[in-house]
Parts: sequence; structure tokens; C-alpha cells
Amino acid sequence: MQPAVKAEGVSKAYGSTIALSSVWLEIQSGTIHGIIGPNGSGKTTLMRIIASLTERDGGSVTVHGVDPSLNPIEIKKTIGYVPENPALYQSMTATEYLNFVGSIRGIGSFQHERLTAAFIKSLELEKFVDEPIGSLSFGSKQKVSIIAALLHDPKVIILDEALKGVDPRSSRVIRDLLKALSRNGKTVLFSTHVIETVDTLCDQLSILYRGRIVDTGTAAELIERNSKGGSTLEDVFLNTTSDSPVGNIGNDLAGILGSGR
Amino acid sequence: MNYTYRIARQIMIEQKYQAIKNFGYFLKKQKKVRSLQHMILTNYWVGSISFAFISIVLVLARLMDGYSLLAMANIGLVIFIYGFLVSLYNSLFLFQGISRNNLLEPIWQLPSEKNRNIYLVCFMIFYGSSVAFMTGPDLVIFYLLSGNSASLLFGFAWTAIVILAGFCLGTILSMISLIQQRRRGRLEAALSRGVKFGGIALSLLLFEVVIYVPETIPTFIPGLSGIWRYAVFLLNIPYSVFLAGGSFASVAEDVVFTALFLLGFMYVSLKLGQKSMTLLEKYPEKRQNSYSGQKSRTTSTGIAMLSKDLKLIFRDPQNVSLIVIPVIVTLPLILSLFNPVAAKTATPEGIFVLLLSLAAFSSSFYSIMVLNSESTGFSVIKMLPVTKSDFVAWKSISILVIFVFIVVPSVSIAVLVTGFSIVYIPIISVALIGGFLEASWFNGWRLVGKMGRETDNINMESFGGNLGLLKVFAVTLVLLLAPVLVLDLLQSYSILSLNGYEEPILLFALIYFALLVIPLYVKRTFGRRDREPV
Repeated sequence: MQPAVKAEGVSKAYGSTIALSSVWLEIQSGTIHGIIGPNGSGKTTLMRIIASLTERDGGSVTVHGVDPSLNPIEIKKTIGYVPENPALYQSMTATEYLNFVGSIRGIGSFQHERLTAAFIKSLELEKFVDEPIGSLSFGSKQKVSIIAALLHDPKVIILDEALKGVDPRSSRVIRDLLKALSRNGKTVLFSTHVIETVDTLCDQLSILYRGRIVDTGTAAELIERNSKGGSTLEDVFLNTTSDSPVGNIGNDLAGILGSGR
Repeated sequence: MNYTYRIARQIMIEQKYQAIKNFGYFLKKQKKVRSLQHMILTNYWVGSISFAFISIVLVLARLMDGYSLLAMANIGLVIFIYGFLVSLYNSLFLFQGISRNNLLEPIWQLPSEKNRNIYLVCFMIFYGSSVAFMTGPDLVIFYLLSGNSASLLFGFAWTAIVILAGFCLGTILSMISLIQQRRRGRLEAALSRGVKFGGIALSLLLFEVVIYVPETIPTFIPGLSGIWRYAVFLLNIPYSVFLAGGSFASVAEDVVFTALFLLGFMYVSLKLGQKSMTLLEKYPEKRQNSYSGQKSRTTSTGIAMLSKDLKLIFRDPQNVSLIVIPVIVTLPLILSLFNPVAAKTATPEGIFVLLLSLAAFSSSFYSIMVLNSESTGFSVIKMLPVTKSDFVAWKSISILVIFVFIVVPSVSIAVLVTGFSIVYIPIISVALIGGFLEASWFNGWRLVGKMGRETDNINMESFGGNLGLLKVFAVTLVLLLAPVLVLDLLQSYSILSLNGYEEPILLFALIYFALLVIPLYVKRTFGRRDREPV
């Protein structure tokens, strides 16, 4: 069966900074794939390349058989992308913004009204839909961004730190929704720093470190393969993505701060 | 290095960085911060030299008719007024750039009161000072011709006054719009909107009076009594700088008192500027009026894009101010037709050429403004299946809607005042609309082409600041004037013979639409770029 997302030897550099160095990744349809990695490991770059928002320097990528750099418009129809920082028109209200996105995506009015009403109610946005987006909290903006990405019922959903700033209740709703969507055959690519989220949400995980995928598998497989340093996913993450152990760094820093006074 | 200067410079760097951070050529640069500093410096100097060049051309063109004190005073006044408008425009744009991108966010956390004047320092160093390059050549040429060294002294003093006046008015307008954005009451919002548009109308009136009746200024100003003379400091320029109507002592007295008057004006606007900084600090995110009772519904792509663009433009008071600028600049030309002598000698073709300046200014300003209105929301478009071609087309149509509301009344006034048949109203309007659309479509492609595939934020610096605006204006002039010049040449060599007034205008319309439709057809048929995403 053809994978929903396939990346082969993908590389990307920004000047002299290497963001991705030969990344290989295969995500099957109907799965939730988590990408975890420290800051600057290349998660956002990888997701943007898959979403056709960034050009790769080398390697190949396909999304349901379509190359994002060759047919970006088709990819944008297939994918729903939620960026790390919600990119929205600040002077539009949430309703206006969702109407705009729905119109561009060619969703019928009846379907659009039904969908937005359900999403807005579920994510408790009713009070804010008539307010300009610029006046909403970060979390509310993120919710609008998530709704906009899902309106057209995309085959592949890419969420880059999408639950950042979202309240626990809505976060739970979104996670349940993603699980349900994956059961219906949708593919979800999800990045986060919150280990608990990927542990409970994702079917498969990839650890990205310095532009390379250092390990891939289920949470249990990763723990089993890297159990020498501990027995939790957090321990696995810390052991595979750092040259030096965390140890007592926090306490040492507190000591330095105290000694300066 | 001074703390305030360092932060002001950092704001400029940040603004430039936000504009070009994802541009391919910038990403490849090794020393990015140094390269940003270099770009800001280059833009500043090229912009300033361009201002100097324009000033020299204007003065020399006037001198071709022969030297006279009054003629020099009049062209000097026009240059000073343009300097004032550039200051106002820069002041509005700087404020918009700072508030939209929250550029002051990092320094709010620093415990320093010096932050309050950063806006002024940033403006004076990186924008305001370049206006001196506009007035400078005019003053030097005048000094060389007249040998009057006092005009140099007063001229540079007046340049500072004009720069500060533009800054102050820009600050006050921005401040009022900021307050309006924070307020929820309809009455308060309507009142502040009224004050804002009153301010715009006042500056428009000032400009019109100055341009329309320049001859009366030198005699009018000394005739004013007491404080009123200093309050209309801009109108005072020909009288006091070029000494077209007073002695050295009386002019010196005027400069001193005007400076004192302006200091009071400056104090108020600086306080307002500081207050606006506080407002930005307290509410970094915009709070605007709510729009209750909206329905969830979808429309066609075109209507959605058009409606989005118009909302983005009209909900931002700075954009509204920018819409007015081309009208301010070109209205004197229309008003000149009220002069019975001018009306008698005017022809419909002449009216068309006269109003072509409105199309040129509007297309240049609006092409940048409509892209600039996307701001950080540009990344929204990038995530949607929108082609570059559709994006440019709908941007051009959005500004065309605004232009139609300006051009049709302008043409109607010009035709009715000169007593020609009303048939010329649609004929001239359609030709101007064709020219505007062709130039805007070309400008749109050119400006969008300048942005990298990974651009996700647009601001004034995305297109090279003042220099970018000058380039767009030059390209627009070429696009609009080339058919006129070619047709003129063909007629003068009897290669082409056109009858009546309407035939040449209709031919211009045909050429403009052909220049729009033919490349559009070729691009749609053969171009790969046409199907590229934004």
C-alpha cells in the first residue's frame, strides 16, 4: 500500500545552517505520527516541506503520491496545516476568517455553516466569533487556526505544536477528534514538546535531532530500544537528543544566580 | 553608543528582517545582521539621492521659463509641501509597522523610561532626515542664483519644521486610530473617526489652497495678524524662506515665533506619541469594535478574496490615510480647471492626460498598500490553494474598486467644469480605468515576484521602503505614458490620423486593455508561473 507521506533523503539548509540532513520518513494512511525533537532540530522545516510551504534542497517527498514542490496547489487541497504560531488576519472576526477560508476551499454554504457551528461550540468559541482575531487570546487564535485547517476534511493533517496555548478541555477535544479522524483513514502528522501528548496520542513516533531522524517506532518500541538510560519516553527523548545529561543543571544555575547577589 | 539610538536602529533592523527573513537571497547570506544594516543604509542613501534628484529636476524645469523670485518661491513651496507629505506618509507607515509586528514588545520588559522617545528617534534618523535631501538642492540652487544666504539658514530651519510637522500629524492620526481601535462605544468611535478624517481633510485643504493659489501666499501671510501667521507655518514658507515679501528682521522674527509655536505643537504630539507607546504596551494586540450577528456562509473565491482585501484595507486607518494621498497630490490639477482660462483651453484629451497622473499615483500607492495590508496574514494565503495569478488579479481588482470611486467623480467634475459633453465621462473614465488596471496588474506581478516562496510577512520594507515606492512610481509612469507618447509621435509624423477628441482616448483605452489582456492570455496559456502558488 502506498504510504500517505513519504520522505526520502530530504535535506534543507538555510545558508550555512543545516536544518535537515537526509531525512527518511514513511507514514501510513490512518495513523497519527508524532515528531519530537529539541528546539531547532528541524521539525517545523520538515512539516513545511511536506505542506509545500518550503522548498527542499535535496531528496524527494510525496503526499499520496504527489510531489509538493511539483504540484503545491494540489497538496494544499489535500493537506490541512496548522502552524506553530497561528497565522490569521488580525482585523477579521473568527466568523469572517472561517467564511473566507471556506470560500477559497470551495465548501458549500450549508456544509460550512454546519461544520463551523459544530467546531465553534465544541471548542467553546461562541463568545469570541464576532471579535476581531487580533483581540483574541493565543489559545483562541490557535483554535481558529485548527478549525480553518480541518474545514475541508483534508486527507493529511499536519499540526506543528498546534495544542500550544489551548486549554485542557479543548486540547482533549482536539486529541479525541484527531484519533477519530485517524480511525476514519486520515493521516495526522503531529509535532510537540509535550512528551505526554505524543505518548497518549500517536501511533508512531520519530525523534528528530540535528536534522536527522534518530529513531522511529511506537512509544513502546522506542523505550525498549533505548532503555539503558531510563524507562520513560521522556528519558528516551533526553538520552537520544542531548550530548550531556540533564543532571543537576537547574540546581547549578540557581546557585550561580544566588551567588551573584 | 546611545541607548535610544541603538534600540531605534534595532527596530529598523527588525522591521527589515520581518520583511525579508524568508527571501532566498537573504537566507543565503552569511552575515545576516550586517547585511540587514547594509540594506537599511543603502535604501536610505538611494532614497535620499532620489529625492535630491527629483528636487533638482523640478527646480530646473521651472528655471527653463526664466528665473524670478516668485517662481522660485512657488516651486520651493511645492517641494516643501511634498517633503511634508513624505514625512506624514513615513510617520504613518512607521507607526503601522511597529504596532502590527509588536516590534516594541521586547523592550517593554526593560525597566527604562528612555523607551518613550524611540518612535521619534527612529523616525528622525531613518526617515525624516532624508527629507532634507529633497529641500536641500532647492535651497542651494536658490542661494546660488540669488546670493541670499539667509534663505539657506531659514530654509534648513523650515525643513526641520516641515519634517516635525509631518511626524506630529502622523503621530496624532495614528494615535487617534489606536484609541479608536481600543474603544467599543459607537459614539466614541464615530467621534474619533470624525476627528481623524477632519485632520486629513484639513491637511488636504491646506495643500490645495497652497497649490491652487500660490501667488496669493506671499501677500496673504504677512497680512495675517499675530499668532495666526505662525499657525499656518507651512503656508509661510515662500514668504519667510525665499523672502518673497519681507525683510530679514521680520522673517527672523517669524522663524523664531513659528518655531515656538511648533514647539508647543511638538510637545502635544510627543506626549501623544508617548501615550500611544503606553497603549501599545498595555494592549499589544488590537482591540477593535466587534461585529455582531455575522453568519457562517461561503461565497465564490473571487468574492471572498475581494471582500477580504477591502476589509483589510478599510479596517486599518493607516491604509485609509494612504488611499487619500494620491487624491491630495492630484486634486490641484482638477481644481486648476476651475480657472476660466484653463477651462477654455482644455480638451477632453488634455483632461485624460491630466487625470492620468491620478491613475499613476493611485496605482503606485495602492499596489504597495494592498499587498502591505496582508501583513503577517500573508501566510494564510500561502496555506490555501490560491495561485499567484489569482492573488495578483484579485488584489488589482480590489484597488480598482477604490479607484473607480475616485476617478469617476474626478472625471465628471473635470468634464462638467470644462463644459464638454457628458459622453466624455464614460470614455475618459474607461480609458483611465484601463490604464490603472494594466499598471496595477503589472505592479502586482512585479512586487509579488520580489517576494520569496517562503515569505510570510509583508511590510513597507518588503519592497525597499521609499526607494521601492519610487521604483514602482517610475515603472507606472512608463506603463501609462508610453502609449500616449507613441501615439503622439505617430500622429506628429502623420503615420496615424485620428479624428475628434474621442478617437485618441478610445485608442488609449484599447491599448491599455490590450496590454492587460494579451500578456494575461499568454501567461495563462504558456506560463508555468501562472499556476504557481503565492
